[in-house]
Amino acid sequence: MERRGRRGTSLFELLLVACVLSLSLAPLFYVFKLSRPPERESELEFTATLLAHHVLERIVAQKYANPESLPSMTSEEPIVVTPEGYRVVSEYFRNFLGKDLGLEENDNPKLYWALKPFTCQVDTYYLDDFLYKVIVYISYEELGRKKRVFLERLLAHHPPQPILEIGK
Amino acid sequence: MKRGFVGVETVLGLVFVCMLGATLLSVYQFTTGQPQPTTTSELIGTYHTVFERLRADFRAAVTASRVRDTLTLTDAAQQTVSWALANGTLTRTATGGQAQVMLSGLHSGGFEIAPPDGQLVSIWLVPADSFAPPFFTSFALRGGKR
Repeated sequence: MERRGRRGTSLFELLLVACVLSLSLAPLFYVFKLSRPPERESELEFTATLLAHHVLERIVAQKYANPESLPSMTSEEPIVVTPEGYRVVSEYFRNFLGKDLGLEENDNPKLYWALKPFTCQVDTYYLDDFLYKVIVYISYEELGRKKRVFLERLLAHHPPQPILEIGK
Repeated sequence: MKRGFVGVETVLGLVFVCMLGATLLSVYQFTTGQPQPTTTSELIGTYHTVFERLRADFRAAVTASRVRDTLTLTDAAQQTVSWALANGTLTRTATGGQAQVMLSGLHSGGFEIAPPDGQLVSIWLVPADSFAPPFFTSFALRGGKR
């Protein structure tokens, strides 16, 4: 009886197995990625969230004091006075610790340097049903990448009543 | 002519061992890979607690008054909560309760009631550790409103 000899694997079979292996690595990598521990909230991200909260609370306080008031849209602006002085401090940070035009280094150096990396931008939108949407963006740079934290809030907005002409 | 040098069973066995190894590595990373808490992360955790307590107090507050480094919040039922900064420590005292230390190791800090209507209170805290992040934010007096 002739015994059948053991046959080696051909190149085609090797490539086929490699393909199957590659496909199986995709879900495996996904599982590996999922198993990574979550990234901790960085100091900058936490501070940015507090700053965005400050802006929203300031808007809410203005709204309580004057229900007709609406926050204005602003471009990306620094939140403390920059040494160059060319960029205007965000209006939401001008009245800051007794200052009228923003915090300067001499006022509180630790706080100044901690807040200097951040910029503030406010976007506003009119929505249906007399709603006004405010989005506060606080931007900063971390590990060479620009990041930003945003908080948003809906405000009630009633447009002024038209003045009716007498006699019509 | 020799067609190969390893049997397909061997290749499949190696694949199985590789996948098993990668899976075990994932499980190991998941169970033991949690980063150790640092001083800064502990401070941020404390900041979270302070923030939540402040937010709860301001949600009920109708008026705010400041005397030096003590902020007093009063709600509609005339119940008061005081936040005080003294000797590098932030404490909270509710009506009829004892002072509770919320944060210690501070270099400086303060409360500021925004003029003219006083509906906004800003709070800033700078830790003694110069590498630790400061705390700065504001709260509106909501007086039970949302």
